Amino acid sequence: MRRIANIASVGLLGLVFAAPAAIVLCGVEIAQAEETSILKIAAVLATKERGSFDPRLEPLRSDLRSLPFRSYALLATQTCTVSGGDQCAMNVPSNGFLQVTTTESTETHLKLRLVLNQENRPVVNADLKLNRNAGILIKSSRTEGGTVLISIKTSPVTQ
Amino acid sequence: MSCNEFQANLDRYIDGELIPTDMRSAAQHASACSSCETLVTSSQQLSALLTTAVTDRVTAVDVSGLWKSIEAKLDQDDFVTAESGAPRHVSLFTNPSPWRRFGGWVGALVGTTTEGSFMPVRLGALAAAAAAVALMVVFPATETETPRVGPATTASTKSIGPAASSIIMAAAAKSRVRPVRIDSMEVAAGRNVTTWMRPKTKTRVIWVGDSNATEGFGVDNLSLER
Repeated sequence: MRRIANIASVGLLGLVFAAPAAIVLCGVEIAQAEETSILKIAAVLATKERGSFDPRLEPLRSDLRSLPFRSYALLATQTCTVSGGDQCAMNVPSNGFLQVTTTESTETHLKLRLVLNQENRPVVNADLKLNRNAGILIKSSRTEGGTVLISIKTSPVTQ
Repeated sequence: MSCNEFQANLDRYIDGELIPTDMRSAAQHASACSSCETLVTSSQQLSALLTTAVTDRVTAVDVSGLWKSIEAKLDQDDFVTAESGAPRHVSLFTNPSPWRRFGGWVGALVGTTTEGSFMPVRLGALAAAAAAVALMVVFPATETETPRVGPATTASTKSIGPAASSIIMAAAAKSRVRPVRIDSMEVAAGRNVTTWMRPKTKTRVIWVGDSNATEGFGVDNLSLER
């Protein structure tokens, strides 16, 4: 009888300990501070014809050199300071429009909803999670002048 | 879009709640109209100020003395046992440490604070607490990357809105965290998508091509990095 009482007590105590632990840990997760981040978006025109490499694209060289193009030119840039819920949008050459909404911004990562429209039609609609200092490179559409690439990089705001 | 229309939708524009076509119209208007652009900027600054103010107030709360005050309060309190008919003040241990006092307090809750039965209860409680904490800590730490579209993966299709399109929800779950994770992705009908990671630069390439695959960037003609 005493053994049963002990087992029941252990179970009850498990609940007593587990519930606060769950609440505290979930609370920590929820209360994780929203951090401000910088989103750098660049639209690049790439062609297969031999040509120059735009020096302003030097930070992207290692990403771009693996792609099957020979020349790269920077078309437009957009820099946004975002935290959770903020958005960053830019017109993309060839009648495109990119909208990036930050759904979560923490010390370690950003969660983004990315919508790329072209000719008023959504081409890509994605939910992404980017760690700090990570990035994405989207090959979107071909135009008469070449192919449009879109680079999105994240970095923390330097105080 | 006129200035009146833009200003009527300003909040939804800033919150990103407009549909994509309206977002585009609004963004184009804001970039062309200096007064509306100023409105957007000032609203964003106000939002940032509010966020900063709230954050500052929260971070200004000093909790460093919280545990000490709890300990002091515990020292003042006596424990009441449920064993006797009427509540009475008892001293559970001759030299009660905080842990033993806490254990005694928990034991009092379940009515097992007798000398003989307390140890198993305390061990069980500690084991249960350790298990609970371990579960809560371990599972978030091993966050999995769910939808990953591999280098050689081409999307199947589904709809975006009225048009047929593609949806990618990868099934394989990886146990290691990646710099860029794709939770979900849809591409328009008539398109396919290939993605791969460049670990050195922590960049994920998302290659949206036509379904006819004549766009010159199949998996065959490129050494893909995993």
